[in-house]
Amino acid sequence: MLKILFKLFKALNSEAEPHQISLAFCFSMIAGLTPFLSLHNLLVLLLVLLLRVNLSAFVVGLGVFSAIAYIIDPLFHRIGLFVLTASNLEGLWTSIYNSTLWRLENFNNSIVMGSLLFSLILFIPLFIIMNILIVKYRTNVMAWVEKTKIVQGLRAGKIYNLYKAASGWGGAS
Amino acid sequence: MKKWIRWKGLMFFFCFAVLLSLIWFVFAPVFVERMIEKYGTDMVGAKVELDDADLTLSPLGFVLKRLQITNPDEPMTNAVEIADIGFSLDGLNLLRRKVVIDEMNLDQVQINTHRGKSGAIRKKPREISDDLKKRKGKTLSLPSLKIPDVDEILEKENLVSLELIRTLDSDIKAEELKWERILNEIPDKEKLDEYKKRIEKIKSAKKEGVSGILEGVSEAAEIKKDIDSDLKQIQDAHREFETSLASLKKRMDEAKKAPLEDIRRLKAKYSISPTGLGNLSRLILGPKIGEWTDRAFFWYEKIKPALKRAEKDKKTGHKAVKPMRGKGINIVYKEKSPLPDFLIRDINASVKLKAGDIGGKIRNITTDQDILGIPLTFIFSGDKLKGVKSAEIKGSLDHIVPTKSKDTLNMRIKGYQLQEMTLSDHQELPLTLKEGLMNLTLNSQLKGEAVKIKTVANFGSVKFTTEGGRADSLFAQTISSTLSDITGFSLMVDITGTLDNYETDISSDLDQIMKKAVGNLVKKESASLERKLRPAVYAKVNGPSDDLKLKFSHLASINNELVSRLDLGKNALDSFGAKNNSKIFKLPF
Repeated sequence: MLKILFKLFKALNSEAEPHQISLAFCFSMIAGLTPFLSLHNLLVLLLVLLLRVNLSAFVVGLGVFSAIAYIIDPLFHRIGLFVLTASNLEGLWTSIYNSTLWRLENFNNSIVMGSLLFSLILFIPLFIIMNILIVKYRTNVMAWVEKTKIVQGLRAGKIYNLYKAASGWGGAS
Repeated sequence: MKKWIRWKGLMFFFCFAVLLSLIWFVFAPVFVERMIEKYGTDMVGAKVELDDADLTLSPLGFVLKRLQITNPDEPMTNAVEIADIGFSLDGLNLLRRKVVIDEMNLDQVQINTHRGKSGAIRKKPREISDDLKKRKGKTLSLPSLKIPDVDEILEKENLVSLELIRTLDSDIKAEELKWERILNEIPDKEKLDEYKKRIEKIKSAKKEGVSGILEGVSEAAEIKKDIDSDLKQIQDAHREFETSLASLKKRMDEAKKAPLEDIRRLKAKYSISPTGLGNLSRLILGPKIGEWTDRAFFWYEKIKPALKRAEKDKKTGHKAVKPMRGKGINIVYKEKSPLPDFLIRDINASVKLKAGDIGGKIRNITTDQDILGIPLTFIFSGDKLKGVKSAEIKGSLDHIVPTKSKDTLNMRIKGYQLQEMTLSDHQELPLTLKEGLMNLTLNSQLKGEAVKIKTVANFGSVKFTTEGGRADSLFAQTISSTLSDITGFSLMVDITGTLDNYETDISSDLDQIMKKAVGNLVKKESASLERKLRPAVYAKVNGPSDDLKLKFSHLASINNELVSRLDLGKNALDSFGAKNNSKIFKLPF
């Protein structure tokens, strides 16, 4: 996990495109907030592996969002129940309920629907916000952090050696 | 494009998918095996075991090896053992979370096979329900074919006549004491004689003048008044005594007749009742039929839950589930072509019995008959079996409308060869059907809670044996000899009621034959018992009865005393009145 964290920092500090890291975070949000063994997460996994997104960011994001999901599951349940029982959407749900693919997706579960909807709505805003934050980080925070005594000290220690050893793997792989 | 796409990632994804499929392929059979064992065991209440489960991909299905379902009443026996079960699954519907099996084949289904290890899951044996206990308590026993010794009878039986005599004896004693006390209280001979003296005194006194006459009249009136009062007292006591005496007399008469009543009662109790023998088929076959019926109902109760899903699922249309994380609710929408969550359309079974193989078909097994709209049906049949000419069992379980469920089972067995069938293990009359041929027709129906079963069995070429019975018992000999002459009989069994509480009506032409055969013997034996009982009962009763008579006769002396006092009083009054009128005074009234 420590290696992954270093990799993430290396990617943040490197010349890697900010959208590669942001997209990884957004995908990890879908996979982390929704029940992991859902059909749509297979698609997320395919996209994460196929598209050049930062894998370290995805893994870290998955851990963070899974932890968040445990806390806000009741909210997902309420959103899902509201949407699934909305009378004006009943026709839509009924037609897709009769589709094998959607039944396999288990869309009619209140938590699956609530969390998927929540993460899809937040997908683009998070992508934009993350992009901005990464750029800001690189221009403002990174330079300041590099000069701090802690980082200087760390650079002289074992952890930094480990970080250096891992740096050969490439940040935006 | 190269900037965005990572082709190595696609390869990695494929490898990951293949790995997942492999894991599923390896673990799915294990998962299915565990599920069958777990749910089967919960349902039956004894171990359900599966030796192996294999997954086949084309067509998608499973092959299960050696399924053993333990008989919960006999843990060392499998109620059913199936060597091979093969079925294919509807893959598309499986993706929709519906287990639909178009065809299932059961090979080598065997019944009552021996188990190597006990299949019990409870330490305690299965508890018998209260209703069952009540029913078991109701089982009849054969009438005693042995007439006990008269002395033995009288030793353990309380004679009502003796009880009556004892009660009466103490009542007479109490009555005697009471009247002795009353006799002391009411005017006695001495007092009544005193009146005579006083009258004589008035008569002898010579009173002159008006005042003397008036004084005499006044004194005479006073005596008369006293006599009247005493006489009334004696008369009242006499009347009361006569009432008590009449009551005691009545009871004495009853006590006199009581020994006869005792003899009649004991004779009825210890003689063989022709009525009891008139229903011999019920007495002999009742417990066996009850046992078979209970077993059949037990298995029906075990199978029944498999026909219906939890009611709450159906009522609300929502199913509460626990997803991978947290809790959620699955919303159910209307399906275009509704299908049950679980359905086996056809089962082909080959049942291996000692008599040979019989084939069967079961159709439409589902937990949601209301969705499918078709009842479960089954048919099993076999011809030219060893010891059975033909057999057919068919029926249906219709729970399409759960509140109007109707289950039927019809059975036809022709030419069933019976051998060494123990019908009764009664000490006096052990009865075994050594051989015979049976044709049986059974029609049963369970409509809602009401069960109705009608069975007709015709037996031919029968041979009964009563070996091991008491050779010295005349009745056993007679019944044995009668049964040995019987070559055929019919039996009708009607069961009505509910599964928990049912009534069994068993009748047979065997009953009439038995009744006729032993009727005269029963009468003769009964008369003999009465002849022996009469002197024995009287011997016990006579002594106390004579004592009682003696004590009762003592009451006569009380009566005599009362009558004598009454006479004395009347005489006193009469003599006083006559003399008073003619000789002493001429009273103005």
